[in-house]
Amino acid sequence: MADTPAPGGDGRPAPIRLLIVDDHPVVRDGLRGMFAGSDEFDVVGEASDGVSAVARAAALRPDVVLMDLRMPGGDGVSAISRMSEQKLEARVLVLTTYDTDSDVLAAIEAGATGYLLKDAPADDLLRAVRAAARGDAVLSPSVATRLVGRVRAPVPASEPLSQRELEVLGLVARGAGNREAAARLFISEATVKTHLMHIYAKLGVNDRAAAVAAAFDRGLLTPGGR
Amino acid sequence: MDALRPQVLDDAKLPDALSEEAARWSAISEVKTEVATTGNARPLHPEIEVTLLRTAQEALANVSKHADASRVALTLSYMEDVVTLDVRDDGRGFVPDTAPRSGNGGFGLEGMQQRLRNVSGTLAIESEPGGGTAISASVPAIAVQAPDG
Repeated sequence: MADTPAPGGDGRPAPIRLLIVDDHPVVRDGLRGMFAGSDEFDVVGEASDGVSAVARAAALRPDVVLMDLRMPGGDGVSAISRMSEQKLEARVLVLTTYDTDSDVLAAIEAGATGYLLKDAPADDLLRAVRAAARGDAVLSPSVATRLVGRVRAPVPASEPLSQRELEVLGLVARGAGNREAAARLFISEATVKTHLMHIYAKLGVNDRAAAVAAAFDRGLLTPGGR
Repeated sequence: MDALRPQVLDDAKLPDALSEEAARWSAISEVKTEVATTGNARPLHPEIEVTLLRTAQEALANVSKHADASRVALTLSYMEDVVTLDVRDDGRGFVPDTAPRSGNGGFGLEGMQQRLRNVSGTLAIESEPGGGTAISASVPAIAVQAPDG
């Protein structure tokens, strides 16, 4: 592909081409400064809002876009969506101020490769840009944990048990331990335990005996059947 | 950069991609291979899907190299908050803490673990001599919203 960086003539890989998008000039300057010292990176452009970010990404074809999310005149999430729609190859790394930012999940779903806190150490930032350029996901663990929490939160106690959860519970009701249940289903014990945790949450109980009792009470399991 | 992505994910969803991978591996290794999907299968963030596919490839390579197995099962379990991928075999197993974690001829477990950490996932390894091996990768179920229409 013509716009894929080729190795330089001196044998070193071509620099990673960056576009910096943030509405604060001070932030842009600071980021540019972090990359200036290394010939591994080349900041090819800047934009101060989402709309111009899409235009610049299309024109400059950077490898990685560092994207702020909240900007007057075109937010980051919409820009990421539009870049995905236009099939721009650039990887988008979201820079966020707060790891509680609810827009982060929206950005990931819109196609961002990863995200990083703006106050992350410079080393982390450089590492994240390299990983993003390689195509690896970059999820900062503290934010990722929150994301998982968000996804977990809507599981209501009234959510029905899945077919697989009923299968696991059926084995447990007949006296199988985690190890035996795993062997029967030919899966890992870790996954059996995860299923059990979900079963407990859905039935509002704390242990296997109570789960089995609740399942019989609700007619989810029948004596002699599954 | 697209050269780094497993080609098969371009036009197939993860369960299909895993099935294709398993079928290809089974044909070469001549080991009976099953693929099962449980729960509500749905598209996940591409990096997460790629990570699980890579994990499966690595785990199958380990089975070829080390396990002498006659049966392998890949199980993709879609739950509300996480998705797990289990690769279990009935091969010779090992004492988990003694497996070489990286390097040539090693099990490459370090690499799998690192890859999973990048998407906030975890890797569990369960094995015992004579009792087969199961690896279980667990990742957050970050869904991709279907495009409009």
